[in-house]
Formats: sequence, C-alpha cells, structure tokens
Amino acid sequence: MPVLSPLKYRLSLLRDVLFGDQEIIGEVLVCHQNKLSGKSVQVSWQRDGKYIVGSIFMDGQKFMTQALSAKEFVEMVNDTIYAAYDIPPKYIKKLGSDYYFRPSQEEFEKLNNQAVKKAVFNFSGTMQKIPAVA
Amino acid sequence: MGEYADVKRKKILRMLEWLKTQSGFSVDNGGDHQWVIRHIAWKRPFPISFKHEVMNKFILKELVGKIVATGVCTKEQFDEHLK
Repeated sequence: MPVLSPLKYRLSLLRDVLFGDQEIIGEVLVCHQNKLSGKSVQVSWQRDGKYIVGSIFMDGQKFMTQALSAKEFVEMVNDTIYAAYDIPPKYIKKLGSDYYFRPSQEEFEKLNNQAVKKAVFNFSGTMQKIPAVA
Repeated sequence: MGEYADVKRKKILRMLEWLKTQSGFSVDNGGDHQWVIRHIAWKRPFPISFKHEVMNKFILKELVGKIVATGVCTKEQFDEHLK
C-alpha cells in the first residue's frame, strides 16, 4: 500500500465520503469505542517557534503531535490518538462526544496564552465507559 | 535539543517510502492528517502529522529514537534518508 501524500490522502477521504461504503456496523463501532474506553490521557506541551508541540501519554505509550493554534492542537491530539488506535475516519465521526478529548477551560486558555510556554494537563480525566448496549 | 531542525514534509514522505521497505516496518495513512508508522515490535503505531509544511524537531527526534531502537538503522543512516 503506498504512502499517500497529504493531498492524495485528503482526496481519497473525500472520494470515500462521496462514493465509498459509509455503512457503520454497530458492533465495529462499539469495538472501536472499547479501544478508548477508560483510558486516561496526559498531554504535556511546549511552544517551539510558531508551533505548539505536544507529547501524549496514553496506555503506557507516548505519541506526539504539533499545531499552530490551541483549537488545532486539541483537534490534532484527538486525530493522533484515533490514528494510533486504528480507528477509520468514517468511524471517528460516529464515536460520539464522550470519545473526544477536551482540556478544561483553564487549560485551553493556557494553550491560547502566548505567555505560557509549556504546561501539562489531563484531557477530561478518562474516556467514558461504554454504556450498555440495549 | 540536539542537532535536528524542523524538516520539510516532502523529505519526511521520501524517508517514509524508504522506511516501509525495511524489515518489520509498514507505513500507511490514518486519522485525518496522519502518516502511521508501524513496527512489529511496537505495541501501538506512531502517527506523525502531515498537516503542516514541516515536522517539528521534537517530534523528529522522538521518531528517530524509536526507529533506531528497532535496530533497523543507525542514526547516521537515518539522517541520510532525510537529506
């Protein structure tokens, strides 16, 4: 399988949305949610030039990401986690808000404040447990 | 911090094309903006973002450390593929 350039990958995602199989299988969705359930996430970040560079500690593993703004940083942390846990894009949209890591308001303000050069925080404690399937 | 500087995305892509030919490694795309590097000895893959024109040096340093630790190449050999 080729490693796609950013443009080709974005086009392939768009093609999947327009013409691909977008069926969501409930059991598969629950399986993907289970990968993230109950996991605590700690993020340490620092400013480096125009970038915010973050280290994500989850499940004994370390991942890293970068962003240009606080809002983008939160998006990129989540995108990195979904990629690390092999969650396909069509399922990412269906995971639900319980599976989207968010910093507290205070932590987000630090990310936005150029005077703060680095910090460590937990993303919303832990992921939610899976509700019982009816 | 060491000797690394931020590296342009196209150089990273070229390095990944080499890396995926190495024993135990595979590379594909994931998430919305990630290249996902896998190695058979790693519990989880290591995603790297391609959203920006350059990859930050801190992320590059972490990536180099992980790849060199697998024994597939030395740091100097890795650096050759970033030129």
